[in-house]
Amino acid sequence: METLSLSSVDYGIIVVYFILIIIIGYVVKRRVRNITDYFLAGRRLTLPIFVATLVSTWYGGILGVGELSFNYGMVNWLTQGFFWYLSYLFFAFFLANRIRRSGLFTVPDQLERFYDKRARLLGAFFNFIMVTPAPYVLSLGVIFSLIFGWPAWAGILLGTLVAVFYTLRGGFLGVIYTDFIQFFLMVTGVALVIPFAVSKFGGISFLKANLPATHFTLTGEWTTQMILVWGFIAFWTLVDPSFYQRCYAAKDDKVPKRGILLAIVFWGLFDVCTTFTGMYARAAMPTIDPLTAYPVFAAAVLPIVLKGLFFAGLIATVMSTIDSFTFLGAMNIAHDYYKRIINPKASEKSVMRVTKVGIVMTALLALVLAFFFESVVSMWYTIGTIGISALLIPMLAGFFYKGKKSGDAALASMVTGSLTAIVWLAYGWVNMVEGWPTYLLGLEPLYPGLAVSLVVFVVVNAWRTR
Amino acid sequence: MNYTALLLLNSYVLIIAVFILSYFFLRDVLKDR
Repeated sequence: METLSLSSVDYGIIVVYFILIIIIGYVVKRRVRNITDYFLAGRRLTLPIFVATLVSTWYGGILGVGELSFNYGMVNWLTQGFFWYLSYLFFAFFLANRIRRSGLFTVPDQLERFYDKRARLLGAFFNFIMVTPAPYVLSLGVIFSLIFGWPAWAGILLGTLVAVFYTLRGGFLGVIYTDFIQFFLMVTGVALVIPFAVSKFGGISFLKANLPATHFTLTGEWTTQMILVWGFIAFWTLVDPSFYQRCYAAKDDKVPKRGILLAIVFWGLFDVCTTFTGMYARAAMPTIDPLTAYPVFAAAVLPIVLKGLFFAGLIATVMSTIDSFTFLGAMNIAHDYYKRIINPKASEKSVMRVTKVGIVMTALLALVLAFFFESVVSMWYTIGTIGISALLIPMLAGFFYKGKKSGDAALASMVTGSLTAIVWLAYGWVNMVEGWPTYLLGLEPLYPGLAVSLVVFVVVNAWRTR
Repeated sequence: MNYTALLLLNSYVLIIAVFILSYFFLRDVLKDR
């Protein structure tokens, strides 16, 4: 991979960013007094910090989004933006306040409240899979080798160490305060590229003259099934642990709903910037590697200082996801397994200790996975397909089905849904045609996964609650 | 419609929105101390 040449001022800005987040992690430790402070920042999240931490955590996949826009154009906005906004709206109007009022800590807490301890046990496992920071750790390796010319493992290791350090010290408080800095950097960095691209190359007419016409249609060159599957993957939001955690941590009942609505405005504006930057990159530099098109193009148009700001922002988008996910995985280990199942009499101090061990374990597992998988996007797709197939139906039934609910139904639904998805995924990997998996019956694995999960839930629930 | 102007406006609105949110964040932090 080529290395970008940045000036020493730009490198300096990136170093300052790292020093800043380490200092914040160091300082907030003083404000952690009990387990609620450590897990949920004392349930005191106000609107601005709620929005900042949600927007920045959610947006770890900037390289993937750049790649999609570069290759296919505006279909990126439809599949990575619009579908998700619908899902966020649903969450804001129908789930956010109920989650906040429940006063719980995690998604598996919610499952135990709806069903039983077994649902928590299994739910925590899938929850843990969904929050592995491995894809983001892998992205960090790519970004570091691009900026510094280091081998991927060095960037992966350094970034993970820094994130683990401040998460370990400050817990969720460390995560949200550093998230604010990262939010500021990532959004301004990304927004600034567009004006410079327009002044250097020209406006929309430049894009029209240099891109295929399909880049300007919402469906691109994609088939309806490929597009629709993203509509289903966007259901991820409804079982996403970081959304739940922030709702639990909100200061009052108004913050979650208003916060998500405001976050949608930020995502909306942000997604327009990322989509068009990817398209500018393709129009201006059609031969560069699509995966790194976004940062390579930004480095070519931005002036000194802003370039440093942009790259600090790029690292920040990924770091803010790594810290939150690592912490969520650790909460699974400490709260859902250790405190609720292994040692219910554990003191706050020992739960905090186990959380710290959990942070290190989650990060180590992510490092191992990052060295095995090669593609960020394929890892997302696999994790999302399995996690959603397992958790979506039992969670939605828990919230919206008013009749009697059986723990057996939740369990059976999680097991059969995820297994179906795994079988479908495995079939695809075995039957690769020109590097693309071909699935049984030509169906994307998420569809049979969800369908089996739903049918099994309904049948078992009717049988066990007769 | 001038789409280039809309695209630029989108970026500027985003930057201004970030500064406004940062102002309220800092206000909350200082109040909380």
